[in-house]
Amino acid sequence: MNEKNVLDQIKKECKLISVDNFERIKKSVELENKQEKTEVIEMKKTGFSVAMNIAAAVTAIIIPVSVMVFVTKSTSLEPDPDNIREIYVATGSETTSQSEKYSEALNHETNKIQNTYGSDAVSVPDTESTEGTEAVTSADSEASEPEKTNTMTQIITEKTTAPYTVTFEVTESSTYSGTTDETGKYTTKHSAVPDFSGRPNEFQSSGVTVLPSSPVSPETTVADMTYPVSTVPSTDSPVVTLPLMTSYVTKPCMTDRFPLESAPQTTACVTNQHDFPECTTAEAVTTVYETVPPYEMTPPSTTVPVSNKNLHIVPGYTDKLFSIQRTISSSMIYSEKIYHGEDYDYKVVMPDSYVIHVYDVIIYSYDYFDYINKGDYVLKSETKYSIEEVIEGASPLLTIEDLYNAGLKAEVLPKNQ
Amino acid sequence: MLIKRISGGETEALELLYREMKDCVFGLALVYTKSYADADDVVHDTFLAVWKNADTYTEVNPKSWIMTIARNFSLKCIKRKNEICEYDENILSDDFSDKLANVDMINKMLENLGEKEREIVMLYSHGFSHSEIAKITGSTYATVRWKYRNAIKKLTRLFGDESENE
Repeated sequence: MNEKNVLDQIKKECKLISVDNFERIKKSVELENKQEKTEVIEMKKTGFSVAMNIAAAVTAIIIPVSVMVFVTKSTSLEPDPDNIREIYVATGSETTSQSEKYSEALNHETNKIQNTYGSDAVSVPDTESTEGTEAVTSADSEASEPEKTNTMTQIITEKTTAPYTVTFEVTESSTYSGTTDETGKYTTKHSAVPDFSGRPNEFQSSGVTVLPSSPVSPETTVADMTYPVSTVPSTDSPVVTLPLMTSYVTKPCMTDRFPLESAPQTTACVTNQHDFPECTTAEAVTTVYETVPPYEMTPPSTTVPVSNKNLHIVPGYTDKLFSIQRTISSSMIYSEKIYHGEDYDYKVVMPDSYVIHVYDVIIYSYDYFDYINKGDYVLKSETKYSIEEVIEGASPLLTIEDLYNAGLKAEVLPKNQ
Repeated sequence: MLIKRISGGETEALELLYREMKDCVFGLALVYTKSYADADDVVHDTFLAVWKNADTYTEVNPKSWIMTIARNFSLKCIKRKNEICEYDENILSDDFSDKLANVDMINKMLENLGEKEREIVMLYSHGFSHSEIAKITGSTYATVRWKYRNAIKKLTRLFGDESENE
């Protein structure tokens, strides 16, 4: 029986004993598909719950920070009662919501001043017009809430040192310089018309809080970073918004801290079942190197192969290489010898002119497939053989076919010639 | 290409690939596990893995890839057996004895060749080249060639001796 018959027989017998069991595979595939769908749904649910957890965590962080900012800001704006403090209500074309807000603020401040200085310290007139040079205020026995008008302007002062005075609520006649009318209302004249034109700026420069006429943008840009402005939740006190004075840390550029480097190229070490690293001879056809790498492992008696030598791996070994060298001298006698191979015979002319160099090497590369081309090895020892020594004997290293494939010049003859 | 169709979810393509490759996969699994049931499990696991990972395959020759998967599953099976009890590769499992009646060649392979030689000869008999076998088994080309030559020598001598005796 020859090789071809053996291989055909093996293939035939494999076909004979292997049973068609695709149904089992099909069922597993269907089960696999079902499981994948279930996993996708579970992942979605998991993803949702994870998202909820993240949102809860973020909320838990943001709310205390906002509260802290609010508390910090309100304590820093505590008014100093010794200073004249005026609260300026913006004029102009106000929206109804704004005027409501301002009237609330007005009421609050009125109550505050009344509580501090007594109920006589302030009164809120029904209407007040800034037209003309005289501001006429009227007091009514029955205090009523001011009418909401689009042009309502009012200044409430805590102290009476201003050139303009606050009206007092009177119920009885008194020595006023005003005139009485039929209804019993008394009017007073302000000695000076309050000038509102430049006041907001003055207020701001003196540290007074000014209610803006338009809503503040919720975000303030600081350099290239954008931080949300903390807004005070609405309470009884006037709503004030301020940009956050925050400091930001310059983050180092990631590319500076972690400069991009190309990953070192590594190759895996492939081992066979005996844990001997191996490489392919198909790639290790030729190699040329001139100096031994300067490593401590390099033995002093290492022979450095000269250039232009073909190195081959000894079959069955990883760390053994061989090369064929031929030197013909004029003194040599012509001879021929036939070496018997497995499938053919090989006739070699002048076999004594050939020297087979076998090198033991130490490989220090992970690339066992290409260490020869890369030169990642060190020579350990070298032994020289003749053709007969290397292919015959108790434990031959090479066969005549290996030598022929490595470049041995021989004539191939059919077997038994 | 069949692998592309499998990655698209076609079970028909998987079936075609199965019919084409099952003998080789089974034979390779058999020379490792020496058990019919384990070899059948390896075939099942191999093609299931092919189904799951077809979309990740990008090379040209899928046969080597499939055989590598089969080899890995076979080795896992042996490792599992080693963990359970001391596995003697020279002993054939009981469920295999009746099936060996008509498979002399495989029988001789299992009895007389080493594991490496068996896998190389099995793969070579199904049309894989020495370099492909080297990639599948993680060996070198030279080793594959050398071991194959020794294995074939042994088998031809065995059958040659038997025919002489007959």
